[in-house]
Amino acid sequence: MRPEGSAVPWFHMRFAERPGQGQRLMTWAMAWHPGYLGDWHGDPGLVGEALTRRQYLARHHRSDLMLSDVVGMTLALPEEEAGSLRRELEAIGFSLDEREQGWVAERPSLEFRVRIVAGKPATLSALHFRVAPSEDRVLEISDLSSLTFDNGSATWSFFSG
Amino acid sequence: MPCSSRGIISLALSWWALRLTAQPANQNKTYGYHRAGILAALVNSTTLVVIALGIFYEAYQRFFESTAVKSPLMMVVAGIVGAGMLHALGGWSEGLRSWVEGSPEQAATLFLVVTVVGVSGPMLGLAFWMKRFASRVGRVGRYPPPDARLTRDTRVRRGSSALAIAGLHYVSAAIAVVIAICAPVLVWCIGDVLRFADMDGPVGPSGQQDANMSLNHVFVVLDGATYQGILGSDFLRKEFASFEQRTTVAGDGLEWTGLYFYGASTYVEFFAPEAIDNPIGFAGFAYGVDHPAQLEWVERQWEEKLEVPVVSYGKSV
Repeated sequence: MRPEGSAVPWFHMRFAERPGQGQRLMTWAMAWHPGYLGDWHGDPGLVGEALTRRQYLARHHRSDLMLSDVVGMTLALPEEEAGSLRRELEAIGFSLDEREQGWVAERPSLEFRVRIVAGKPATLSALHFRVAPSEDRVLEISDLSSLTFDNGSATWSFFSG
Repeated sequence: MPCSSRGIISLALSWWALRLTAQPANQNKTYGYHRAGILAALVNSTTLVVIALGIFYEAYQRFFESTAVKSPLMMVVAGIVGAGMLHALGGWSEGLRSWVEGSPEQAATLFLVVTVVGVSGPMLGLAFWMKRFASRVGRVGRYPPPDARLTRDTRVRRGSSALAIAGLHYVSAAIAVVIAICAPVLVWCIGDVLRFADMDGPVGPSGQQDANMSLNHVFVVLDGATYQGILGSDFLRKEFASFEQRTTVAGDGLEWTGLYFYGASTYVEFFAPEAIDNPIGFAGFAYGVDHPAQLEWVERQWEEKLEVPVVSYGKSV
């Protein structure tokens, strides 16, 4: 909120009402409002034609730590929801490769691996990161989650117990 | 300034210098006008240097603030024009017409090759003719002593510097044409590599295409043990990433608390099971574009290809 009580425009989004949308997995497209950072911090110098994702995160990301970016995810989806997501991805320019028990959708520096499962709800089972080079290791976060480092990449798995 | 305009001005200046150099000496200009050619050459070469510096400056700026390259659009335009021309030619040959219709990409490539050769060839030819002419008139003699009587040929030789520089101007223009035509082809071929290097660069308001689309963020509702495990991990906090537990209050009054891990251009939100009204395992992700105008393109694609309603929404904080 601004001091006088009015709201600061934050982002725009589009949401396709495809089959399965929002039951266990929700997807949408968004762009930050170009004036958000300038408005929020009271600095007109921050207002530009567009506010990129990198600009938005510049105040938060620390390049001296390991995490560079999220570069993909693994999803376990029922067949109907997998098909619905696949069409959504193809419509906006992702290329698709068939794999055993599923498929992979790709754009440069981003990859969605989908495994088709029967009789189970949709689950985001892992996130994949680009990280600074480090020794290979596995960090156990809980009984259901672990973070594995492997040669400049890291995989954070969930609900895998 | 367009390349052709620069060429015309350069040539006009050279022509004027040649005419002026040919003027005889008079009472006021006892040495004649032979320096006009050198001055014209100086102006032309200085212009070239200034323009080159300007181009270098703009290129340098692009390293830090890149703009979307619309190579597919350029290729499509070239392809349509080229295929159209070849299709017209195809009126003479049924075989050529069927080849254009069956292989539009090859036809577009052929058109680009023909354009490169057709445009740059005559320009290079003109440039070499100018150079040859300039060296021919330059053979008339070395600089005469100041008191020598200037013949028309020696005066013309003074103007040859301007002509030689104008010739060089045309060589540079011909090279620029070749590069301008080849650049979109190159970007088309290795565009993915370039996009990878510039995934997070800003795009202009006309960048409605899918350029720069990537992931904005991901969220997952975790089980309680995992959420607490993250909060208590020194390694995650000190070595892995910048992260914080934060409460957000939106403009519509909604409020949520989560853990935020910040990457350079994407981030991850983790929610505790009690934090939001969704079950453990509920997840979502947002495709991210860097300009609101690109969302209109996304909306069209989904409406046309998925044939489902697309909801448009804006949020404040």
